Amino acid sequence: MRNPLMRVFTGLLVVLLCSSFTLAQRGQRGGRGGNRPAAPSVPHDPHDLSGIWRGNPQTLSNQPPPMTPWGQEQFKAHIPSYGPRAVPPAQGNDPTGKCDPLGYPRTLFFGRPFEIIPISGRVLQLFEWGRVMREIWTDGQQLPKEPDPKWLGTAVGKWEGDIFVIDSVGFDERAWLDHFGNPHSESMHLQERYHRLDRDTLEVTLTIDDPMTYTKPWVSDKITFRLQPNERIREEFCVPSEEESFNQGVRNPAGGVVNK
Amino acid sequence: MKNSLMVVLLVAIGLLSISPLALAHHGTGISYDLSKLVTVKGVVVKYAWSNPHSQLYFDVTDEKGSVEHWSAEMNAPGNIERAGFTRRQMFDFFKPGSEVTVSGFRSKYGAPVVVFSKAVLADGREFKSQGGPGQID
Repeated sequence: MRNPLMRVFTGLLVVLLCSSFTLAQRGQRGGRGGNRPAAPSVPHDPHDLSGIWRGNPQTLSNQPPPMTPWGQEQFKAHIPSYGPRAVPPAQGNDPTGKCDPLGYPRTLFFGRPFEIIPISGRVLQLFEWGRVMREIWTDGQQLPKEPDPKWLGTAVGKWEGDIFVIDSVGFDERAWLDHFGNPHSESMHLQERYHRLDRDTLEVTLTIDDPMTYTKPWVSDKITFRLQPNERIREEFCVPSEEESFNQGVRNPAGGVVNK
Repeated sequence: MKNSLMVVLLVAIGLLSISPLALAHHGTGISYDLSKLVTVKGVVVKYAWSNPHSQLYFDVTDEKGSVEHWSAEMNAPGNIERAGFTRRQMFDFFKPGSEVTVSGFRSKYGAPVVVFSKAVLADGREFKSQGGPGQID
């Protein structure tokens, strides 16, 4: 009796594995998941991060640390269209629905490619979404002690062995941390550790230290980006007037909201 | 031993069943009934190559002659370009006045709006969604 049952379960497992593979392929074609495999790995310089990279991490990890009362208040005020609290975009208040800047690190989580461009005294990150350019200062300057908040913050970087470590402060708290409406405060300190494991694989770990929002640091999963050797950074703006037209013609009626 | 293996298999099946759903749960899909593909025949009114969502507007006339204005949420131009289509090709395909049969997943709220899956012109040419919740193959 057990053996036939085992065969059924094993068969089911095989089918589900195949279907997951199909969905993964679909995501790749769709561009949003877009983690296409690159060419076979070859020797690489671990201190050279240049190239176009793509992944679709969406957030740091599935489970944020417990939030402070202030953090919980922000979280409740954020009504996302992704994840377990998702509502139709027309009924939510995701800043991206009006083409407001995603801010950082949400820009990194958005699923579009980005290019790393090392130049003298800086490393540039050029993100396809909005063609946003982030500067990471590598000229030895220190982080500002009382930074004015910016959408992307202020970032400095240095090498620790084969890991490029970026520390950033001074973030505008109007930006959501991720698609799921997790918040951050202006006093967030973000550390990113970039490790090129092989020619085609960039592994990033993020740590958010934001005592105003979270009761302990939030350490991400190991997030993987894949080299896109035949890709280029395209023009992809979120255009407010076009987004408004889309909201009126499609998003609002689709989401059950009557246009005013 | 066999029982342990059974537990492992059951857990694996559970996880594999959940993960695609979780992946499918993103902003655009939540407004539409993704369980039921609908197909309607109409006439192209306008194609909008706009960021971050392109859109198709088309009119559907019923047997009594009543016209209903439909719209379709389509991919971002960047994704369409990445799939190998140009803006010019898209406008050439969706010419105002062309007869078009559109398939997609309709708004959960009953509005004549779909997230786009496929369009077929009268001459048989097709254009399919290039990813996202509307993609069907």
